[in-house]
Amino acid sequence: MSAAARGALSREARRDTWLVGLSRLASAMAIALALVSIARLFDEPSEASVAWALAWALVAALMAFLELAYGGHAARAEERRLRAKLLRRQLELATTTGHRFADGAPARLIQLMTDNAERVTEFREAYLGATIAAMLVPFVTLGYVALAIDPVVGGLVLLSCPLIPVFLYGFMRLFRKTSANSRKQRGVLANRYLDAIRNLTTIRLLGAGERIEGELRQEGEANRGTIMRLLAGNQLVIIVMDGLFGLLLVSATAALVVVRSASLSIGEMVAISLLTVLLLEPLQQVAGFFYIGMGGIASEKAIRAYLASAPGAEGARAASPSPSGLEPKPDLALELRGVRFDHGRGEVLSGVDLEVERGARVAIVGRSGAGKSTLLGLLRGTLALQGGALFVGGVPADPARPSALRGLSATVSQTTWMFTGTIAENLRLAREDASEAEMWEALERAEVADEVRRMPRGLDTHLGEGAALVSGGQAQRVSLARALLSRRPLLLLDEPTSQVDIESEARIVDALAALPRSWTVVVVTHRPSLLRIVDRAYGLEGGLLVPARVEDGEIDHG
Amino acid sequence: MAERSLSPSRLEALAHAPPRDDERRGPSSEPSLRELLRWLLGITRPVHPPLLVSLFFRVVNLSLDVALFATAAGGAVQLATGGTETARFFAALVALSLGKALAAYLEQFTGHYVAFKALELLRTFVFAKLWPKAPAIVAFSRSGDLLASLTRDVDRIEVVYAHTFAPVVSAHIVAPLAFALAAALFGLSHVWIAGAALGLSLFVVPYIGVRRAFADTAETLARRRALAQHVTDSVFGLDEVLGYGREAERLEAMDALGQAIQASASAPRRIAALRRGANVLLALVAVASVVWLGLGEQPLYVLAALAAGTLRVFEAPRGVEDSTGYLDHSLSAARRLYAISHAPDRVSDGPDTLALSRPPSVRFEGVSYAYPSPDGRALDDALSDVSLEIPAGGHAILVGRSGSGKSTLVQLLLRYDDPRRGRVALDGAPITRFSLDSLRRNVVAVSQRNQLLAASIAENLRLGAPRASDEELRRAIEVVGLAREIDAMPEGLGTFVGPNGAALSGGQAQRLCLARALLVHPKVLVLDEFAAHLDEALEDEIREALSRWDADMTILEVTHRLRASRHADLVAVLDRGRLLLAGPPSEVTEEAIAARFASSGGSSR
Repeated sequence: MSAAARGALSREARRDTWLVGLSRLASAMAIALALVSIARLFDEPSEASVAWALAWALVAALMAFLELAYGGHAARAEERRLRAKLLRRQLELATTTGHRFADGAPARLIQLMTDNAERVTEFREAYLGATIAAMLVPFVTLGYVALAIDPVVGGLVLLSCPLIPVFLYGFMRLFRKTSANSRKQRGVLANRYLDAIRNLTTIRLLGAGERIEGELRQEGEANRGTIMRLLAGNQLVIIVMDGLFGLLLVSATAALVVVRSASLSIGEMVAISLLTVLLLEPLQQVAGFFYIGMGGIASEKAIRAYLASAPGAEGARAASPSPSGLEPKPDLALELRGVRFDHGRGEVLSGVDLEVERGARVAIVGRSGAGKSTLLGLLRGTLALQGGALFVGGVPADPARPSALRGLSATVSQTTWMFTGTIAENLRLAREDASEAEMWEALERAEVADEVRRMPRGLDTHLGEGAALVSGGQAQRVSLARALLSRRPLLLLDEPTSQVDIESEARIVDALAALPRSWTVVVVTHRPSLLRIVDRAYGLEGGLLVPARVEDGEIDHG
Repeated sequence: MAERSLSPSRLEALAHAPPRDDERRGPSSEPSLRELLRWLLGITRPVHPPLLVSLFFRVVNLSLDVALFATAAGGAVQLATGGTETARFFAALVALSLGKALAAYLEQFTGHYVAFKALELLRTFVFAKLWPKAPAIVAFSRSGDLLASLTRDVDRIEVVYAHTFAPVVSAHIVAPLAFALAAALFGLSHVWIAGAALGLSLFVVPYIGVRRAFADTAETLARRRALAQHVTDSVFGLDEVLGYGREAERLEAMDALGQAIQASASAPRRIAALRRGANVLLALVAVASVVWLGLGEQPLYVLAALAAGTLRVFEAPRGVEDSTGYLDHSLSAARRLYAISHAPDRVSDGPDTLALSRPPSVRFEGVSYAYPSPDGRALDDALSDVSLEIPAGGHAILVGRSGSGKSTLVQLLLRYDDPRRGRVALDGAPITRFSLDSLRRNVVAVSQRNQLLAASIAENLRLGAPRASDEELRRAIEVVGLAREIDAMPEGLGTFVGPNGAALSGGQAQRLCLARALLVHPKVLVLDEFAAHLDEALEDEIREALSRWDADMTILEVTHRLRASRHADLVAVLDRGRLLLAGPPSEVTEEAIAARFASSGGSSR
């Protein structure tokens, strides 16, 4: 419909909306033709008319079938396209800007990709086309009456048709306030319940259960009284709607038929009478509007807003080519020269220099917000370089294609998300063709092999929903095993022990200490235990890296 | 709660994951359909009379609708052939229109009455059943899931009362009546085809493919859950997906799941489409049959009326078309509510009432505990063999990383659940001896989670002490250092805190919860990370003030920062469910913990 909607939905979806609408229209028209054939029997009983009526009835049934069946099919197909579009969008956002989530929390995105995608496609594909068609049915029917039966009856009723929405609109306006009030009242009560249920533990522990129950009961009753009083007025719209349709359409048509009876055959009069039933077609869609329409429209808005959120202009803006003529020094795992970065709120990195030789263990410390994660993002290739030069294993960072660096390092973050599936599947994320022996080797190195062996099915243990079988500490070590399995010689660790139990921390430290020097390790941390095993440490202060003295695991600021 | 395995983000994801709608997860002893219906009807008894009134008006509405169209068609033909008076004809039309409109209004109004009353009854009933089962029913994940779908389930059942019952029953009244009337007036031989079509539409069409549709819908929901999980993994595991270059694979797997959903969702759709098509066909066949069979037998105006009436009578079965599917959803919802309402209590009252005149000693004796698992699988111990004594009036600090079991330990003191082995005692008496209410009047907790009702500050403060005077409230907010901030608010103690205390800062909400706990005048105060949102100066200030609160208390404080221990008499360190170390603050230091740990075998291999 609108330009923005085109952005959310595919061409196929728009085509399907029309196809569904056309099926609905075709079904209604076939019903009309069947009724006309039946009415013809009044003028001239013929078996041919009966046959035509049955033939049109079959067409009508078939088209009704198509409308529903195809609408469902089209909705699910578009749901798939929309979901893929949303995930691609998120992947793209994460790559170009490093913004993990453009529009609120990740849970929100999941909601968009599941519930909202279903609702919007159900609305667009199954409901909208049919509704537009249903709105057209009275006009097409009356047009047919005007052309094929009687221009006066068809024309006059056709002219009166637009009056109905006008009347309805006026009436709704009159009662808008009360109906908004009644909705609000309902909302207040529903929220009271939700609130009480959310705070069930507090209510119970403080011994307030009985009291709150009584209060809710009382308020519920009072609120219900208010709503019913409001509804008594506001539902008058039903009398108007029913009365309007009954009087205006049915009675007016009957009156016109009587007036024009001189120039109409009995069959034509019956045809017009039967066709008035089709004038009620739009009413069939009213109930659906509250269930499908409102939810669908809201979902579409949310999805559109997400898709329209700018892919972080700042990411591309400051991208400048790296200084020409710079050659990486050989034997360095990492080399940074004058690296700058700005998230759009002032520089976080203002000329960072760093050289890390292969096999070194380097720690980076600094306050939260000092730019440590930004620095790691640049090294990993999830953020685009804005200024300076950066080489990972001799490969230069390309501001236009940060993802080129991604295969060169493996990361262990503060917390590790375990994917639904087996331990082996989680490990193979890093390298699809890893053998069992290789996986066990990596698990051994990461000091988690014993625990995996004790799990019910070893490597094939299924980490169900919520990964109930692994603790946070084990997950971190599995993540380390995964990083080792990837055979990427540069390990980037972002506070890997900040969320784990003391024993896991000790084992992670042991694992890192025992790691052969074929791996280079860069770790962001504050833990004394981790600082003890690094060769040297740097502090990130004021956008610059400065050497920090580590004394028995403590940073010596002096 | 099951913090050892669920990261906050995972919990958040689960909480927002699409509700697992129609999964049947009742207790092992599922109620029979009869039991379920009897139970449900017992709750909603008061709405049954208005429901019948609504049904009556629905029947009137449908009947007048048929009459209106029949009169319009028949009357016009009769007038044209000179058979009746114009005035009478139009008077009849107007009367029928107005009558129908009035019936529609009354049907809607009584329908709404039924809906709101049923909603009210169900909510109140469920809430009354629910609160005594807290906190266990909230704390354990399985029931937590049930809670998430609670309101939705209540709505589902309400819909049956408000929008399903009357259409279905009225269709079964109006359609047979209309047929009987027509058969009596015009003879069975005239209307038998129409009658058969109506019968098919009412008694066969709604049941076409019901079994298949149920099975496939259940399959679709299962696939949707798998999809939601896959999407959750992709979003929360974004770093891994990008880092290991798995974008294409994730997209492909997601689309494969979407395709599977499309496949299993198509049969129910086709069945619904078949019903619609069948009803369209049957209605037209019926209309054609009454005209064809009546030609030459009945006057034309009668045939015209009969044709129009027949066409409208089929509106009745159309309202039933998809009700079978809907009823199944609602029955599943009723089953879940039944399961929640009949969930066993995890803890029960002891015979004695706990009345303490001074702070008691708190003793954990060889306490082991494992969280109940959703599927009966044995979960690892969250606590194993923890023994700890806090002297009367003492201040103990429980330190540990996330997942160490420190919160679980204090929850056992409040009897969220009972330990699997060992016991918890106050002044030497096991806490299972006391009634739950009396225990919880004496032992009060302030948790790290913000637990404020969407009400005023005063109402929140009085939650545990409904009779507290304004002066008492004042004293409590002064102790927690909140008095000045509340005075600065335009409505003072009457300030609305918003849903989840959104109108307050994290630190204000926490201090408010502390003040609320103090107003109960507990003898044991449990502080679970209460200082998480406070800066150090404020934290110290409140600790200082706490000692000035009129009654002495035994304090158990759970924290992950060791700095809090300066004020304590006893520090206990927990790790992975075991008590690592306990002693005075001077002895329990970072170094001691590290040393202790090194000797207990972490790096022994």
